[in-house]
Amino acid sequence: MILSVREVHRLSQRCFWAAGCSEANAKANAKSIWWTESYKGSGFTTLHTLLDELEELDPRAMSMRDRDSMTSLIDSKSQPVVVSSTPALDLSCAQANEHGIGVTHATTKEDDDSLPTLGHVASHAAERGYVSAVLYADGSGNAMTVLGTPMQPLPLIAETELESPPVSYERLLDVIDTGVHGRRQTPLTQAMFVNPAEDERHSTADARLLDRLIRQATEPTGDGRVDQPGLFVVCIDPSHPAQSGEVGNVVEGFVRDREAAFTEVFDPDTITDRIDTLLHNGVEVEREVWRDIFEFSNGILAPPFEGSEEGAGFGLNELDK
Amino acid sequence: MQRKHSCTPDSLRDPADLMCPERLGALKQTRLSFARLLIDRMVDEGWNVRLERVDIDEEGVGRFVYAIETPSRRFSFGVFSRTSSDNENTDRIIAQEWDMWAFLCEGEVSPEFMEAQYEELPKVIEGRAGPEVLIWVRANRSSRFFDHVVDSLAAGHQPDIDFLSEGGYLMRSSGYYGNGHNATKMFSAMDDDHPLKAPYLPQMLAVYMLRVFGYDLAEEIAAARSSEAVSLDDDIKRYLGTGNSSGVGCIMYVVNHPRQINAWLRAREVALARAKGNEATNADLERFTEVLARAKQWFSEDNSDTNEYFMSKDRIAEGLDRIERTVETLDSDGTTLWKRLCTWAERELEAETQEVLHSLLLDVYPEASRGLESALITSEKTDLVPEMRISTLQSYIDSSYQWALDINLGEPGAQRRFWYRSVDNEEPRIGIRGEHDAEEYELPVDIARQVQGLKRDLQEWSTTDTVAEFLFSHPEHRSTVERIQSLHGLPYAEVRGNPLDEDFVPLYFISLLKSFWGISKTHPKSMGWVRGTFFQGAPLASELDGEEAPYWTYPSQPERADQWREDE
Repeated sequence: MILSVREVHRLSQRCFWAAGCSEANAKANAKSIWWTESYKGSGFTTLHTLLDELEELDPRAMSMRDRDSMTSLIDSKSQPVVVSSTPALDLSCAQANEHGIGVTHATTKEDDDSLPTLGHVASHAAERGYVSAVLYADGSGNAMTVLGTPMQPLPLIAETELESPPVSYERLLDVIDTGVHGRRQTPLTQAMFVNPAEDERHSTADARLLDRLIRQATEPTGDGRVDQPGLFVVCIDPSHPAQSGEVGNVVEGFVRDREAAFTEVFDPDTITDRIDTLLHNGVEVEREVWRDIFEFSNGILAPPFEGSEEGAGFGLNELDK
Repeated sequence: MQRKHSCTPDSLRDPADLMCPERLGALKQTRLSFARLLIDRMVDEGWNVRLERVDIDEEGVGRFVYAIETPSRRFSFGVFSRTSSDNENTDRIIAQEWDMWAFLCEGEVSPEFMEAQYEELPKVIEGRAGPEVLIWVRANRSSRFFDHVVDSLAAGHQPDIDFLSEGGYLMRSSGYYGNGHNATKMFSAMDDDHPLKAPYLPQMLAVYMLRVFGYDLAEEIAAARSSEAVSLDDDIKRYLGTGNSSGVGCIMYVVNHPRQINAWLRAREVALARAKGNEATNADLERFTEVLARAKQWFSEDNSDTNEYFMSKDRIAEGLDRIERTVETLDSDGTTLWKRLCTWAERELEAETQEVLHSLLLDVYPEASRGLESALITSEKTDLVPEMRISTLQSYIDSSYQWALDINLGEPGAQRRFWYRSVDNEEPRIGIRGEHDAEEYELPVDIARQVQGLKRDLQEWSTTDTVAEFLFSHPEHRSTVERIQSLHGLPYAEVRGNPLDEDFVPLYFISLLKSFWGISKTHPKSMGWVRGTFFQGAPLASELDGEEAPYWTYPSQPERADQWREDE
């Protein structure tokens, strides 16, 4: 059956709302589902897969482990990526706006079925004007990196799946584990400039730093493992006084040069066409999938009770009698 | 002569005056109302509306297909007509039976497409319209008036116009489903040059087509019953419109679409400020007197019951009469006549009469509304600004939401009601807190309560902290924060009322939406349910001739002609 784009949004939001999320958190999560549908064609099926665990989602369960000017560390208490990524992105954006760079690490749950939505974090950061790198790794050897950079009409997003944690992930984790991220310079500088420079392609320090981050974000460590699944959200504000003009072009240049290294590059023009097609033709879903999602979403609707008919406009004058 | 318009921000109304529910409930249709914009477009562009296919029996059961040709695009309106159910309340959302189903689509209608729509339209939730379909509509005949018209025509004479004027329509819709509902075409999928690319224009065209269909159906049934049957007189057709029922769902729409409400109100206020800024010429005064007289007669002829919620139509007619006697007697004070008249009206007349005056001024100066149509289109898409400092957020609250902070939610009754949707076709309903079981399904229409809660929690935070930090600890405030951020600088976005209060009157919000849509005649059935009439006086399908649109609002009741009734 065919659903309109609006129906996909609405059903997604209602499902999260029915699961107990606040209206705004439901909306934020629904945006992730829509991104996954419009970019990857799997948003609705991802939502379907998540239905059994939706009622465990709770952004209030998360706590802040540590925080300084450029770094936030979130203990998500096993909340999945679709939940933990929202505050992680907000915090990184706020820090990048203030200091030029923001880094947030959030632990996530094992066997996270919401992982396909990860790219939305980079996409959303880019829509807010930030260059971003989102790095994920778990203890089972699953790892993923998504890079995003602002472009018109849509951001350029590139995603790669790895068989072991990205080198950048491991290095950032080292900086945090040793507790030096809050004491010396920026966490990114500490993590990335551990080896002598090789093949520097950029003239400014900030562009070199970002170049190193994204290069190592697409390189697997090989035998590396992490104890706990988690993600890093790194945001860089290209318009911040601390950044040179060069930093805004680094991700695009890197992605264009190394397109084959990515599992998928979401070219803005191609995605624009895809979204336009969905807007005009709708989203095709299996009826049974729709039915499950629809029935779950009805959790926001009140069952009838004695006197409820009077609360409809027609009988409203009788409501208080 | 081309007039120059100037409009400064201080010439627009203070939101503290405009945005209270009672004032918004008093607003009337204007030239910028969607029904009027559609008629302007249809006449200007000479749209051709014709019945293309009809196949019905003498009970009116069968199918109709209309063609609607615009200069750039062809539309079709397909109708499945059924027998009347005679149920007064079937235009509620929870209804399962209707007298007719219809669809408005782009392009021509093949028999296969017609059959597919016939299969899908009865399925309220699961039904799939398809991307060619702009609107689905279900409607009922007005049993009293429709049957009277058919009986009269079949008997060879015209119906009783005094009786018909009590209602004002033959068909009454139970809702228009478009913009993605049931997989209909989304508004954002329309090209910029689409003939219906403006708020609610697809819905308005469907409303107009229901009017056309109602007359055709009545005449077809009458003709099938009697070879002596006559056609309905054009004056009567023009005087009637399409019925509409609206309920408490309108309140949720107003709360959930603040950017649209701001855009629509601002356009109206800009047009009004422009109109009031004109120096009145003799021709302007003549025109004003003319439209004022029409309105006065229309209100004095309208016998519909306004219950205790709105002013009686006679009282408005009296106020218009006072305006007529006052307009040329006001002393000059250096401002324009229209400004002086509006100031006098604010002092001397009730809000509803003042708003009729405002609407008439826009009719005297049509050019005051020109160019504002494009300002009616806006998006509700927003995003959080996580980097904002708490100090900035607090300043936004203090500058724009003092009205919300001033509401005493501790007073008895201030939170008595809650709003929710029922599983019965998702019908919006109101419950009593502490008495009804559905409180856990409460919908967030409580803007004042949300803002007060946010303000309270913000006090625990440093002004230099960011919104991102605050929301990490208080994710429950995310929606309120995003709303406050995104509505900053939009003075007409927030209605300054408390829908939770036991004294809150939902009718005011419903009436506000009706003024945007362009409904003039309204009959409140309760404090949360209104019936009304669209397109009363509008040109008939045969009169969309490409000339300038006639002034059709506030039509006079047709004189009864000798040949209309032979039995009286």
